[in-house]
Amino acid sequence: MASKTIARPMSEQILVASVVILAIAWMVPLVWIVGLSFKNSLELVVDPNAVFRFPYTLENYADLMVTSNLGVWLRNTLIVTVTQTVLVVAISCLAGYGFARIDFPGRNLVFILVLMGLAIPQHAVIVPLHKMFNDWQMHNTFQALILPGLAGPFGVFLMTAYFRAIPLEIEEAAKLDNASRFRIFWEITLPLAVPAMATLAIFTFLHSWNDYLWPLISATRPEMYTLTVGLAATQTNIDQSEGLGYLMAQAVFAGLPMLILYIFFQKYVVRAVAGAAIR
Amino acid sequence: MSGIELTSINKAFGAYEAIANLSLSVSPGEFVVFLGPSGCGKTTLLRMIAGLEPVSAGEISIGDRRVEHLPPGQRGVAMVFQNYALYPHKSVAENMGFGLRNIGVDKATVAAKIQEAARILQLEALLDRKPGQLSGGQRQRVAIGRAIVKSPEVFLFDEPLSNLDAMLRARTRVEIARLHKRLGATMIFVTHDQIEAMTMAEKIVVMSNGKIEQIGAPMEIYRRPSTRFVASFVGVPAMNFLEIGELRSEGDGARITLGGHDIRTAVPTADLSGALTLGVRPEAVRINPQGSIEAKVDVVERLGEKTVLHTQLADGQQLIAEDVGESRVRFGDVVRLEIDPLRTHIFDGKGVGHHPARSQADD
Repeated sequence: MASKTIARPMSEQILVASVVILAIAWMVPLVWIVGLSFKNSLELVVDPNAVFRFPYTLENYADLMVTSNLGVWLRNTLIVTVTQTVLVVAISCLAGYGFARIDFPGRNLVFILVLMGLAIPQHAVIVPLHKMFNDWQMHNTFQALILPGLAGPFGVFLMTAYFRAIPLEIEEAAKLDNASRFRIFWEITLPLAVPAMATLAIFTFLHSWNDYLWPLISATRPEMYTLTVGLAATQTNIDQSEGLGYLMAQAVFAGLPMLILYIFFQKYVVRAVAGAAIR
Repeated sequence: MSGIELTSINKAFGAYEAIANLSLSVSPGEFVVFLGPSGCGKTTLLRMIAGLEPVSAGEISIGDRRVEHLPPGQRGVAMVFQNYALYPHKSVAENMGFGLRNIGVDKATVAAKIQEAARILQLEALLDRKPGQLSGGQRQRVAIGRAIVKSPEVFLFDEPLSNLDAMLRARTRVEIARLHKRLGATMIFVTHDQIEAMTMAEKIVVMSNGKIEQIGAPMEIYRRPSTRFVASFVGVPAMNFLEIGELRSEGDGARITLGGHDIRTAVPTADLSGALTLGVRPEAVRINPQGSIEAKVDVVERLGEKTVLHTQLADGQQLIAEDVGESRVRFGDVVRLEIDPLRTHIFDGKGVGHHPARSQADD
């Protein structure tokens, strides 16, 4: 007896085909970068298409370990990113809980003011920020790299919305269980908000890791560069005819933590990006 | 075991007065049900006793302590919520033990109390599970268990059965009634379901629009509703209300003309005033070939143990009657009905109920 398969509707087939094409379009540059990183830079000067041919080599990665400032930039990036992520999550949780659960005078007004921050692009405040940190003589410090990123209204908005969605009755039950306000926050409400915190943490981590503009302005000394600024500085000329393999090896190395993060927290990354898209 | 005393309680939400000058006394160990439709203020009243809602004015005492200024955790009450309100990330045992840990009870005592509550509620096998892994009925039992372990002076239940299916609701009703007998604690139970109120309460407080309409034992409320609202809210099918055309005193009661029919009532007529309405429960309206009322049957509901007949009188008024389970009455039949004069009520122009003299009606 012949088996029957249920045909997918045409719209679904078109959707799948579109996704495949888009995925390939996204993948090609990444595969190209990885390929270039395993090629001898001189060979690439002669023929950029050499990327499609053997031999491949690990020499770029070996050079990287010896000559590049990548280790320092990676350390700087990690310090800035991890600190920013932890602080943004902490501040957003506290502020979000306050807006969601504590009835204080002017709450709605303050919340609106915070939300208005969502409408202000980073580029609009970059000059005042630069002047401020310059006046305080804080450029080329970790504080300067970290502090501006903490004023993130998105996190406050996200956590407020999430805390509001947690049934009030659960906290009321805890009140009847004689729990203090802090204990309710710490032991009841906060654990229930872990999915939102994870989403916010990943969103902040990605944003901070990839941030380029502010570190470019604030960190002018190579030892304070973050990865993005450092990699850009390594680029010696506009079409990078020399040292291409070496540069690409740096790019791969710099991108690895993101890749690992994505593999482990795929679900939350998708949610974070979707959340960012609909905000 | 403590009683509760509410004195001149007021609750306003902005300009809206949800509860006005309400006073109520609950005896130690009593099972009281607050009964009323949605928005009548019964849950607000319960939440004020719990401390989850501040009173605008008035006093609340539990036992001999004034509590209206105390936080919820210090009032000696435990509450079971409509949606259970269990802590989703904690196990059943942790849910039950959380309140005890907060007041510094030692681990061994907490464990013993959890075990005891789990035994009473048959939750022993579920102690390590999370609420998300339990059925609705099991969650409800955990919520009750969380209340029991604290050995509170007063148990408060906020419509705890409304999320359960009909079978489970009936079973849980019995379980809560048993629990009350076993613990002997004061319990207040809020519901809009008059069957829950009738089956569990020792005392029912019927509420409407933030006011108490009547306080009484279940059968007292059923037999002698103090207002037309109470009469209409308690009882399924609801009480029949018929506009009285003419009323003539006769002996201890009166003779009423109603849509051309002549009906006897044992309600004394001395205090009656305004537009009068006759109230009669369906079970007091029976088929009788010699009955004085003629009516046409337009719906027949067969419930097994009885049959409910929805009929229409000649003047268009509706009258619900009851017949035996094996009733032969069919849709469209014209039947003769008789009303028991001792089970009639008359509601005056202000909606106040008047009933036959007590000794007569209770025969």
